[in-house]
Amino acid sequence: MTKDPHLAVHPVPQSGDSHRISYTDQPSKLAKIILTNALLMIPTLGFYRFWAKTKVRRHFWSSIKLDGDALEYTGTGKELLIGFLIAATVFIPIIVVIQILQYLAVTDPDQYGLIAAVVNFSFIILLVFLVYFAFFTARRYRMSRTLWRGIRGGLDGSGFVYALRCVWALFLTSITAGIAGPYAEMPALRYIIKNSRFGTQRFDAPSLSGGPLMKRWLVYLFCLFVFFGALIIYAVMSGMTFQPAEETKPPVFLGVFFLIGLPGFIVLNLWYGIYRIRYITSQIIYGPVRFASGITTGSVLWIGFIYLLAFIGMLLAVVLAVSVLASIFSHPSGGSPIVGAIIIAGAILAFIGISIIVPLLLIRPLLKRFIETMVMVGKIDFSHIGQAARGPGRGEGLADILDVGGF
Amino acid sequence: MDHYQGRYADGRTATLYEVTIRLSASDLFIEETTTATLLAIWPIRHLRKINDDPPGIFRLRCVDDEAARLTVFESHLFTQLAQAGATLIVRRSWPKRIAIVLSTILLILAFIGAGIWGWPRLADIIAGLLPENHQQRLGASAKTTMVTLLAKIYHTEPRFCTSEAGVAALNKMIAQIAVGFSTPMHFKADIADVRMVNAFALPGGEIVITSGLIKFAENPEEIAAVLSHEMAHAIHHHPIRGMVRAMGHNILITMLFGSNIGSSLGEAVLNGAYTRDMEAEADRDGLIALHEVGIKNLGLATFFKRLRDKEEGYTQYLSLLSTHPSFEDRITAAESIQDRPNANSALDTKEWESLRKVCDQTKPLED
Repeated sequence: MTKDPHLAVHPVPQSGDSHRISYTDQPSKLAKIILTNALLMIPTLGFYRFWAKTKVRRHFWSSIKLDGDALEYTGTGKELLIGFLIAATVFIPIIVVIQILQYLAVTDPDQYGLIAAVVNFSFIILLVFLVYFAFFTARRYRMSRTLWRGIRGGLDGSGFVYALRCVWALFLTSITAGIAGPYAEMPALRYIIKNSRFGTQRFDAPSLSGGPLMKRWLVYLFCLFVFFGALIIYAVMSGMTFQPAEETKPPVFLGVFFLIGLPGFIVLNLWYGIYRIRYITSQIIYGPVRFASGITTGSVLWIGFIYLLAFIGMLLAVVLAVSVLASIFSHPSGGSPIVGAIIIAGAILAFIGISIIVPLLLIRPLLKRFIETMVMVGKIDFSHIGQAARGPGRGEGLADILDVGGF
Repeated sequence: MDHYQGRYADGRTATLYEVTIRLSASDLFIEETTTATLLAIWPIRHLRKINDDPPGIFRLRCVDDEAARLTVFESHLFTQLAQAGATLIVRRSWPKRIAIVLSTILLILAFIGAGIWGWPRLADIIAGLLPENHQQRLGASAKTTMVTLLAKIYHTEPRFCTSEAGVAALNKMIAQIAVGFSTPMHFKADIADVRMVNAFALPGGEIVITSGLIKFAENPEEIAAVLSHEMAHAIHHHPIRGMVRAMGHNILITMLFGSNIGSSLGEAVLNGAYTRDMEAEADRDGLIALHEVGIKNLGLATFFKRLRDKEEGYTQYLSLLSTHPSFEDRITAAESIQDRPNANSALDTKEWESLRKVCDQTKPLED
C-alpha cells in the first residue's frame, strides 16, 4: 500500500484474522431521499432540515457494513428539533443583549463604550469556543445514535475540555506562525479519540504525535507563504488594493497567478490533508485492532473534480436559463413581476441542485472511498464488548445554529 | 411450523449468534443453531422492522428489548409474519398525521407572521422609544461607517465636499424644503465625494448625498427632489425603524435556516418588502413638501427617467428584489402631482453653479 514507515501497519491483513468493512448502497435510493428533502425544505422554510438530516444519515449509516452487519442510525428529527429549540432560546437572548450594548456604545460611549468593547471581544472568543464545543457535543449525539449489532457507540468526556484544548491549539499555532500546527492540534484530537467508545470498549491513540506530520506540514506552509507572499509583493509593487474598481482592467498576471495558484492550492491542501487522515487512522487502536486507510490524494482529487464540474455546470445552466427567460419576458417599460419570479425560481432551482449534488457527488463518493480503503488488523472478541449507556436525550442544537458541519 | 436461518445479537454484548428462527402462532423463537439453546422468544405483535436496510437484508427488533437485533435474508419470513398479524412497520394514525401537518403549518405561519407583521410593528414601537439625541449619535456613527464603506467600494479616500458657497447653497435648499414639512427636526446634510449616484437618510436627520449625484443632476430641482425624499424618510423615522427591523430579521432568519445559508437573499427580500412601502411614502411626502413651499417638483420624475436610462439593462430585472419600487411606478407617481402655477426654481443660477463646484474643496473624514 505504501512504503512510508509512519503509515505501515504490520502484518498485512489476511482475511480470517481481521474484520471486513464495506460500503454498499443504491445511489438512486439516496437521490430519492435528497430530492424529497430539498423539495420539502422550501415550503417549510428550512424547518424540515432536522428530518432531512435524519433520513440522509439513516441511509449512509446503513450502507456501512462491518463483518456483514450494517450500522444503524437511531436518531430522530424530533430530537434534533428539540436540541435546536433549546440552543436557540439560550443563544437569542445573548445576541439581543449584545445588540443592545452595541447600540448603547454608540449613543452613550462614555458610559458603555468600554463595556461594549469588552463584551464584543469576549463574544468573538466565546463564539470560537462554542464552535468547538458544538462540534464535540454534536459528535456525542451522533455516536450515541449509532448502533452495530444492537450495541451503541458513545463519546465520553466534556465538550468544555475539548473546546479549551482546541482554543489553546489555535493560540499555539498562531503565535508560532503556523509551524507548531500538527503538534498543537494533537491533544484535542487524542482527547476525542480516547473518549470515543463502541459499547464498553474505548478507542485510543497512545502514540499519536505531531512529529510524523511535520515534514509535509512545513512544505505545505512554505508553499502557502510563497503563494500569499508573492500576492502581497505584487500588490505592493503595483500599488493596488484588492477592491474591485471599474477602471482598472483585471491584470493578466493576477489572472494567470490564480489560474495556476488556486488549483495548486487545492492539490496542496489535499496532499497534506489526506496524509494527515491516513496517519491519524493508522494511530487509532480499538482493543487488539489497528486501522489503516489506503485513501489517496489522486482519488479524492478525482472525486472533487467531478463534483466541481457538476456544480459549475448546474450553476451555469440555471444562470443561462434565467437570463434567456428574463430577456424574453422583460420589456423596456421596466421590471416586470414575471422577471422577478423567474429570478426567484432560478434561485430555488440552484438551491435544489446544490442540495442534490453535494450529498450525491461529494459526500457519498468520499465516504464510500474512505470506507472501502479502510483496513482493520487484529481480531476483536465481541463477547467482551458490552452495551453502552444511552447517550444525550436531545440533538445537536448549538451545532445547527453555528453551522458546524456534519451531514 | 416453518424455520429460517438468521443472525442474532442480544444487545448486551456484540456477540453474533447464528440462529434458527421458528414461528408459532403468536411467537417467534430464536435458537442458536449449533447448540439449540433458546436465546429469545419475541411475541409476533411486538416485532418491528428496521426500515433503512440495504437490499437483501432485513433487520427485526422487538419492542420489549430495544437493543437486540435479528437479521434475516429471506423476505418470505415477512409474508408469513404479516399473515400472523405482525405490525412490522408502525404508521402514524391519520388524525395524528393531520395534527402534525397542521401544527407544522401553524408554526411556519407563526414565523412568517412574526417576521412580516409582528416584528416590524414591534420594531417601530422600539424605534419610537429611542430618544432623539441617541438617534443623532447613531446617525453620526452610521455616517462615518457609510462614508468609509463607500470610499472603499469606489476605491478612494473617505472625504466630504466642503466648498463654502456650495455647502451654503445646499443648506439653503434644505431650510427651504424643511418649511414644507413643518417639523421641528433638525437636518444635517453632507456631500460624500464618490462617483456613485445616490443619497441616504440616516437616523437623527443626518443625510448623505454623493458628489456623483450632484454631477448627474441637470438642474437644482432634481437635487431638491432627492433631498425632500430623504428628508421625508427622516421625518417618518424610516432609518431608525429600518435599523431596528433589520436587527430582528437577522435573528429570525438565522433561526429559520439554522445558519447563514440563504439568509442574505431572504433578508434582502424581507427588508426590501418594507422599504418599498417606505420609499413610496417618502416619494409622496417629499413631493407634497416641495409643492407646499412652491418649488417646481418635476425634478423627481426627470431624475428617475434619466436614472432609469442610465441603469437600463440590469436593474429593471431586479425590481422585485431591490429596495426601491420600479422606476416606472415612481415616475408615474411623481408626475401625478402638479406644480403650483407660481412654482419657483430651487436655487438661482449663481447658487446652482456653486453647488456644482462644491467638490473643488474637500475635507477628509475624521474618526
